[in-house]
Amino acid sequence: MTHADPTSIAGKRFPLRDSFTHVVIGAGEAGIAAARAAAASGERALLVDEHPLDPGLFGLDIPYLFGGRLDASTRQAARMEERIVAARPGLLQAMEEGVEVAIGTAAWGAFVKGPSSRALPVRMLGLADRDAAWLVGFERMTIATGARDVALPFPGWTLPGVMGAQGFDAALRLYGAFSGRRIAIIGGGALAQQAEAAARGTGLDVALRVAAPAPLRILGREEVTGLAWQQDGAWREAACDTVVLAVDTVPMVELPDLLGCAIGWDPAHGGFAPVVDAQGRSSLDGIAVRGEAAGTAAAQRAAWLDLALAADEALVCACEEVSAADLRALRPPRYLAAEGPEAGLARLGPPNQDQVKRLTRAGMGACQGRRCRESVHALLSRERPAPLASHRAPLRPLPLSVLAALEEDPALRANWTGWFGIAAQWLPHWEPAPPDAEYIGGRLSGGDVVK
Amino acid sequence: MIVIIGGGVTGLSTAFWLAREGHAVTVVEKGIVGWEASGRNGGGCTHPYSPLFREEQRLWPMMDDLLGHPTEWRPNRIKVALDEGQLDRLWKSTRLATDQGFAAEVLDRAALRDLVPWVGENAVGGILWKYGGHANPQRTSQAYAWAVERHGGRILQHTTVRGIRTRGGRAVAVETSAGEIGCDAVVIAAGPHTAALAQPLGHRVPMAPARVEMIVTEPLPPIAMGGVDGNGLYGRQTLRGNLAYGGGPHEWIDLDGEATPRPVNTPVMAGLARRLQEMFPRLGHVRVIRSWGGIVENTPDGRPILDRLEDPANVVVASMSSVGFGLSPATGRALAQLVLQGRCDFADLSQLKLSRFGNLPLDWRSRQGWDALPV
Repeated sequence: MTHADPTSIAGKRFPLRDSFTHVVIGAGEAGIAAARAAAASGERALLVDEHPLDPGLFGLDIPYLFGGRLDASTRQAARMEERIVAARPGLLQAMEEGVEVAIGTAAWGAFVKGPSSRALPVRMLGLADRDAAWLVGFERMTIATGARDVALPFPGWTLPGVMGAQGFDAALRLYGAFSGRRIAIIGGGALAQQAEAAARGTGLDVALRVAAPAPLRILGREEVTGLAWQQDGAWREAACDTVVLAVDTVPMVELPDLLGCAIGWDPAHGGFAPVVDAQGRSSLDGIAVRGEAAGTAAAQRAAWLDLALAADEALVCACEEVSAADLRALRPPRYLAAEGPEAGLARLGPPNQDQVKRLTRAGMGACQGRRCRESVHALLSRERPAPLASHRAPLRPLPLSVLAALEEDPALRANWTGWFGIAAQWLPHWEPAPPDAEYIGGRLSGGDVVK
Repeated sequence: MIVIIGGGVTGLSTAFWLAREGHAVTVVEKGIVGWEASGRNGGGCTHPYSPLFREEQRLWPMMDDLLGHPTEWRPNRIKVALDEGQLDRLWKSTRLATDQGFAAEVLDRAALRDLVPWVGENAVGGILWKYGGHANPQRTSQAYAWAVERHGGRILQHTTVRGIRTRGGRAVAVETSAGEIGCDAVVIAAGPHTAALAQPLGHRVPMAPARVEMIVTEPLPPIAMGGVDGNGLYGRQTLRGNLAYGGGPHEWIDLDGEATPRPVNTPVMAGLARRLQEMFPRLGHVRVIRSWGGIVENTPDGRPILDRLEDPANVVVASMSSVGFGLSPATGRALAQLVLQGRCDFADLSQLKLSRFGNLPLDWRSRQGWDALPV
């Protein structure tokens, strides 16, 4: 090759803020243990955790279903950092043992060499705090991001006061900022029992727990004021200000999926879970998944979701306002005021959640599909499990200003073009391509291309 | 039976025009229709350098009705310039359209701000193109597919083409993973896979595959004309309100067999955010919620190959060289004519024949600096 196309990615640098032999994502028990073990074996280890979150993310229910039941103290970053460290004493131990710890830091992307990303010189992890995004290099990664909540789209589920078990646990034990008083708990398994025990342990009033799958209605206009459930054919009601959906959680597989690790459908481990061996090693060399990110316990999710999705008006995707009926009819979004194909979903052949997302917008919203992923998947998987809907960076919503702050190679800027850099492409195609034409596609500056 | 290999916009549009006239068509698609570059691009419908430009402009306003499903097409484009160099290049590209009788208007900073409240003091001005437009790529791809079926055409998804059988200088059957399909004509419109499909027929179709990427933000209240771009970015505000923009370094790759590699993102996506914030400095708080990549192909001069071969005489080869979505209504109509009558009666395609690459050196990719790096 004479010299590489200057407008291509070949030869461009991606400035790194630092490099580590081992990065660990998620500072729960599994992550802290992995980071300490890495440091003990002489690795240069970085342990990152997204908590305390950018306050804007609580409202988007990222990463958990927080349901607007965290108090205003979560806006005070320094105070929240103190609480996180207090709630996880292992963090200080890890620091003392030489682990570099970064809390309030989200892992939003990971970039490794592959068939369509040959130009990446080293493995890179994308990190961000509230102000800026940056990259660090890594050789090995342990993903210990835990599990997230499964929302059940019963009527009223989008009201402030409806939370998931993980959101409730984080509000109670991690942030110490739970603002509810009287709660109802949904679920019959260990998750619901733990939520009930935690609630009682902190002196909260537990109005009731609905253990067996039953039709539900969450009551309230501006926020939750009660729960109605069906029992022996009759509706019963109880007053509460919070409903904790503690039926099931699902492994957070965003990072393994982004990296290209094999992920399989495994209902015994919470649904889609990374394929790992006994040591937690994924299909990708040097990438391990530990803790609940590698699999959660089996639960009654399917029965509950079936009940919730049976109603046509069930609001499956809250961000984009897509109902179960819209999905079944494959109806275009409301702003188009158009109908779907006559046969609805059946028109598509084997259902694919990404395809249905693009047609109906279910899962396309600002919560990045976290609240509806499992519902849409259940709805598409009547005959056999639909494939995993893809995850893409940024794995957490990042303000333009934060992502834009990532340091950039000056050669990348100097050679930036809107579309390739082929001068003849932009000149009349009814005339022969002229030699040495000027490129009039989108360029940033009139400066010469850096060779 | 006309068999179309490739369920992207080019193949689907060709099938649509043929089926609409009552011809029997089968589209063979290795995955899902519109799944690759056709369904994941910037959605631009503004290509004044193409001989198909006039037809592109004529057809888009009718496509919703023709296809019976919304494409989300909207007319007009606004170009933003952050310096005089950008403005100068924008005018050069504008003149390609105004020379053909289309209208464009100067926008000073205030006029630009009226149309695009997101721009800042750093914008020197812009141009309003009273032509062109943008549409939703995925919805349009699906609309073509459903329209083909409504007109009696057949679409085989998840079906891979293994070869084209010829006899006496004509293609007689297309061999697929779902069996053989007898044919009277074949259109190869398989994007970056077109070269490998044409090669056994004795034709070298020079093309290099590449990966490109885009980002999208959370929705914002829609502005009057969402087709706004500039500053080294292409893209638009979607009808829902999201900002979807691409640009920047591409990556030359190689294909490995009949699959298309998963198009990942790279830190270039942060460069997209940087350029977007430079163009719209008031939107720093707006969140990026997703990104994606796509695999496209380019010919050595970056221009389409739209050609009916001499041997086998009933095979048409089509590559749009990385710019296929917006032109697709017109391209499909032109290709349908190539299949049926051997020539296009509404556009001069004489410069888009495969034969222009007859003397191309074998190592053309290396010479152009387009080699893929090793994996």
